[in-house]
Amino acid sequence: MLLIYGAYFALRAAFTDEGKRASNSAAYSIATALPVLFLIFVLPRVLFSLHPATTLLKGELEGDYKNVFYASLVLFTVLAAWLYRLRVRAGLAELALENMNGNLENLGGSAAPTGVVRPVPVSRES
Amino acid sequence: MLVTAVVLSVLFFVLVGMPVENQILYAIDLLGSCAALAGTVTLCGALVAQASSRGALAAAIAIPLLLPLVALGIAGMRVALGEGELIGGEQAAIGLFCYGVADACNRSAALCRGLEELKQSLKILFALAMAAVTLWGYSVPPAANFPNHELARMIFFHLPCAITTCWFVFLAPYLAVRYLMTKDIEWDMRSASCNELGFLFAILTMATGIVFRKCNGARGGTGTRGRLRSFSCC
Repeated sequence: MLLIYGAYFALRAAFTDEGKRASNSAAYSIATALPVLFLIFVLPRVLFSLHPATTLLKGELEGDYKNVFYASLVLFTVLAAWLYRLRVRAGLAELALENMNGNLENLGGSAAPTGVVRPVPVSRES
Repeated sequence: MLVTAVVLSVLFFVLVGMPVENQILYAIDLLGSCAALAGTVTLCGALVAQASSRGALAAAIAIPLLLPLVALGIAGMRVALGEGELIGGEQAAIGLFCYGVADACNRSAALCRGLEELKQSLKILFALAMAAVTLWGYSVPPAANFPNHELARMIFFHLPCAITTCWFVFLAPYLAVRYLMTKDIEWDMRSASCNELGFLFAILTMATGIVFRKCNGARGGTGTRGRLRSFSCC
């Protein structure tokens, strides 16, 4: 899983063009969906693993352990959704900033204003 | 598709006379299979709609996505018809519905935008709830079956982290598909955000898992089996 994530980020970093980066990383993300499913659901049950497969589905968590676990799961899910929203808002701000910079560059590149420049009197106290 | 599936199922069971051992599991598998198949085929069709050789391309990209769905559907149906263990059928049904979870998450994120006004109070409420659950976890009696009874509570952090990683794992490819359909860079940014957060929670899962393994007194990863497992993962 971590290797797949690493490869995804390496792929994103390899492209400078925004469109190519988005298309290639999207294609890779879709292509890795199947191996990821295999890694999560199949491999731990085929090979030796410390993960018991029946803890939740057979109700082996009982009493307070079960209640605390489900409460913790709900809170972690809420935390994940909150972090996702924050990251998306930051990403949207980055996109807006990039668009603003692009528009500034398209103005013609003249940094100085084109109006009349008037001398400003500066008083010297010394 | 669902109507067709229901009609065909009724006809099949009436004409063949085969009893259904687990009706609820059969209905869940039927519903999940229809939803997953319809969603997958629709997405693949939309992806290749602008391509020149649509027919071949649609089959080429749909088959790898449909094969696990078909395998899951068959596994679930076999259990519903009385062959195999119930746990396998339930896992297959969960796998089928995971394709629909991503869409539900995306819609719920849109609904959350109306909660901006309650943001501050929600933050405080969330922090209080997190603290309360953590304290509640420490009030649970220590697990008797673990060599280190106290550290068994790590399951309250390890397992939710792993499940949260799964949410992002399933949501990221869906958002990537949305980008390819619309070519809107915002979807790409959302998909990348999902992968970043999935990576973060995967790291947390691994860290808490290492602690959990130590408190469990297990010695996985050594010996021939451990080496074989590492080799298979590579």
